[in-house]
Amino acid sequence: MSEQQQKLIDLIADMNEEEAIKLANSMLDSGYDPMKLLEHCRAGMDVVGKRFESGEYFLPELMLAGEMLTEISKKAKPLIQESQTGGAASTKGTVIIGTVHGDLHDIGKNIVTFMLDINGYKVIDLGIDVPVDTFIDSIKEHKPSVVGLSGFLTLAFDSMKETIEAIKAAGLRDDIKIMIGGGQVDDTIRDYTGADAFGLNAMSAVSLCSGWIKAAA
Amino acid sequence: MTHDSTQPTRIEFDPDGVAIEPRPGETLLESAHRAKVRIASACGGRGICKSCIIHFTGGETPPPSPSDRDFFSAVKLERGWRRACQCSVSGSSRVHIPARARAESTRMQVDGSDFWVQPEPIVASIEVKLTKPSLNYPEADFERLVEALNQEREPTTWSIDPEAARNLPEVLRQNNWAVQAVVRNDEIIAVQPVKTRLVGLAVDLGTTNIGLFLADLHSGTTIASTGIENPQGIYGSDVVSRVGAAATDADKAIQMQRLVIDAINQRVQGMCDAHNLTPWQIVDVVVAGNTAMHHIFARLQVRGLGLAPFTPVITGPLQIKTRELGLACAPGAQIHMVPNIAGFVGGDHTAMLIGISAHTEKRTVIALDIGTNTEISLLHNGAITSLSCPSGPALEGGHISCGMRAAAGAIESVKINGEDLEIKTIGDAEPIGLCGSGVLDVTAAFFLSGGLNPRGQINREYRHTVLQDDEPVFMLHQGETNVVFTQRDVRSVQLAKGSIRAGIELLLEHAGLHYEQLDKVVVAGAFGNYISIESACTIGLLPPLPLDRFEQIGNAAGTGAKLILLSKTLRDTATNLAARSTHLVQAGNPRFNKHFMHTINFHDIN
Ligand code: B12
Ligand code: FES
Repeated sequence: MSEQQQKLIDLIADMNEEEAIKLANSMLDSGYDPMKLLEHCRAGMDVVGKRFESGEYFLPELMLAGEMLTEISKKAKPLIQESQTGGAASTKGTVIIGTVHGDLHDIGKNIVTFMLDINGYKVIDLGIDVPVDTFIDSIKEHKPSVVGLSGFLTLAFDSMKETIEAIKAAGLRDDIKIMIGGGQVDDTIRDYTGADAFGLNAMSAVSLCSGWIKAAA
Repeated sequence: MTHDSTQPTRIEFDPDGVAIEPRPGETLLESAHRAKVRIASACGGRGICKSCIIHFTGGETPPPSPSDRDFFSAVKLERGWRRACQCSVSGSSRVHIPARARAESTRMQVDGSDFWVQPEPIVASIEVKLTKPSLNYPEADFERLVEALNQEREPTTWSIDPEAARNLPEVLRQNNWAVQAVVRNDEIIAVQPVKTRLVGLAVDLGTTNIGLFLADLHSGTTIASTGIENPQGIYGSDVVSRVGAAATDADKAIQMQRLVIDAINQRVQGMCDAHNLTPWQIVDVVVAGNTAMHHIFARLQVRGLGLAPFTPVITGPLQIKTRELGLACAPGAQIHMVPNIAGFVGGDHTAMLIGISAHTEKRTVIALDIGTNTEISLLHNGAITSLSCPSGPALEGGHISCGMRAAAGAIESVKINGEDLEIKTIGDAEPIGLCGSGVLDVTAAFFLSGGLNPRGQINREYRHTVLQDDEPVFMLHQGETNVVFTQRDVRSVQLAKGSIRAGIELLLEHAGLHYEQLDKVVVAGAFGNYISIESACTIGLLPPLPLDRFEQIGNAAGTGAKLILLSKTLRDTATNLAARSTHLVQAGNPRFNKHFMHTINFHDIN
């Protein structure tokens, strides 16, 4: 690994937003392979994730890292499309995610979306206060392997239950795994809503997906 | 010991020594509440907090529920530790309730700052002398009363409250036709012996505590004031839990309303007894509460408050006859419900604004009442903008591993002096837990002395850090009950203080201001009165301004409610203020997230 690559990874891992973006831009400007660059970003993000899990980082770092990478991919992604027409980056699988209806909390969901994305999943984010029908339509359209429901209000657990029941009623339940997260979720809540699993943070969302999708493959 | 089926089953609660027979299917928490034994239940018995931890010390110990099995270590389960809301007893048992779960708050401060207002009550008393009925003049009692009133006052079309009419014949005859009529606009709401003192009741209806004030409506003096715990606590400590309970079960909603009414009636009776008054002398009532408390009290549907878009049934002022809600007062007395501003900015905040004279404020001021929901208003150039921050219960000691109410034994302040911890508890008792002000101080003190890094991570090498199950925690006190402060606790504080500070920053940004431009930061509320402003600034809950720009004014909502009771003008002003306050919605506002991200840590991440 070149010094420059390592430097980018370190800058991202150390939350040095300005320097990281500057370096990424200059690398891209001098013709660096955008795919490879994003790969380094992912490596940097892995470090961020590990530091989060060890307690060194907290939520602001995850959020900021998210912004940093969004900024870098804004420049890198169009270059990828230029260089490899049609060569859509292979994804590990599709995940649909959204904050259930009645709930508007999205910080947690955004971090989950971002971590899944950086780990190679195609994520369709339906946003906040998502009506049951929007989930159903989106599942029909995108045929995801996993659906993630987020909600922070105690009363959102009822919305989760409703959403999962509707997915079942639409005959779509058997083809997908459903995970829930946000707020005070635990196994009792998981059981109440009828989900397959619950996750306490974005890392667990990633490992849940990789567990399921590997098992299916 | 096994359960003897010929003996009735009994649960004995220590240290109170109270016993009760459990009902089938009832949780231990429910049995305890029925026996009027106090066990804290911050989450309302949903099994997601840890306030209801109890200890089986004799008799049958029920098997642990699945969630308790996750919650306690095997050793603790073996030794009989359970959560009261997670177990039911079928045999006879002896249960010890630890001090932390028993603690009742001692900080039910009801008084705000001193004030004086020209009393200008909405009710008036008019002394009248009626002509006795005779065959020559057989008019009805009411008509003769009206006739007499019209001689004293500008004639008008009087009406009488039916309950007041029911008492009318007796009162007139007992007082030999000389009485005072208590009128509210054109309605006669009570007829009393002459010179009966006109008393008003102001209620600061908080989620945790209820402040009650009896005032003389003519002189404006406070006759008595007291604080009681809101008895709805058994349905959860935060408004969302209460709304959840009331919205899903109509019986619970009725039960919750009754609990509050009964508690108020009981306490008001006591206050009256102590001052040679009777509740029927109470001719006017003002109630200021957050929107959820307001709705539950007035028996309005709360469903809309539970989920987005948080639609209240009513924000404007609401008048209800006291008897309709079961409040013991003069026959036709009315309750004025102080208007709400929005779903999560309620009448208590409106009252607070009156309590700090927001309507005449010329300076640029942030006023906030810290609680599970922290309402904040920015007063600037005559405009009022408000929002509510979902700070959660951490700053009040809730959902904190050793958190407790502000009761004897709660650590209320912590300082670090060289290498030593200087701990002060309420009542100078042996420390058993941490209350809100202690939580704030601990966080600030450990941050300043290197126990926490700016991201809130506990330093393993720090002098007061010990390892508990391999996790670093701060050891505050070792004794009968250990008091520790964990990494999770720090995280809860970070989220709580971050959301409040983000709310402040959002309001400032919205008005194009920087915190340096604030002339004053007013910290209202019972909780805010006890916190160290210095600690609050250290951890970034409040902006780093010179200390003389802060003012801790106590229960401004209570003060406001009293003012609204005493003065018709201020009552209109309050309605006006509520109507013209702009409510800033944070949900779905990307700027909130932006600020939040920068306010969670102990210093800005950039
Ligand atoms: C920030 C915040 C807000 C912000 C939200 C901003 C936003 N765009 O998201 C604003 C101010 C808008 C807000 C509004 C409200 N809030 Co709020 N809010 C909070 C707060 C402070 C933090 C929540 C948060 O974002 N945490 C950060 C996340 C990122 O942390 P995290 O949970 O560790 O995240 C991980 C997991 O959740 C997991 N995860 C998340 N989703 C998913 C999904 C899947 C599938 C998986 C596997 C994992 C997963 O991964 C995340 C990343 O690691 C909490 C209080 C607290 N101290 O927690 C209250 C809180 C959640 N809010 C609460 C309330 C009541 C409200 C309001 C109703 C009231 C009000 N006062 O305004 C409104 C209503 C909004 C609505 N309809 O949803 C209550 C809920 C209480 C309850 N029992 O239901 C809380 C708990 C505070 C309290 N006790 O009063 N809120
Ligand atoms: S866990 Fe029992 S009351 Fe909260």
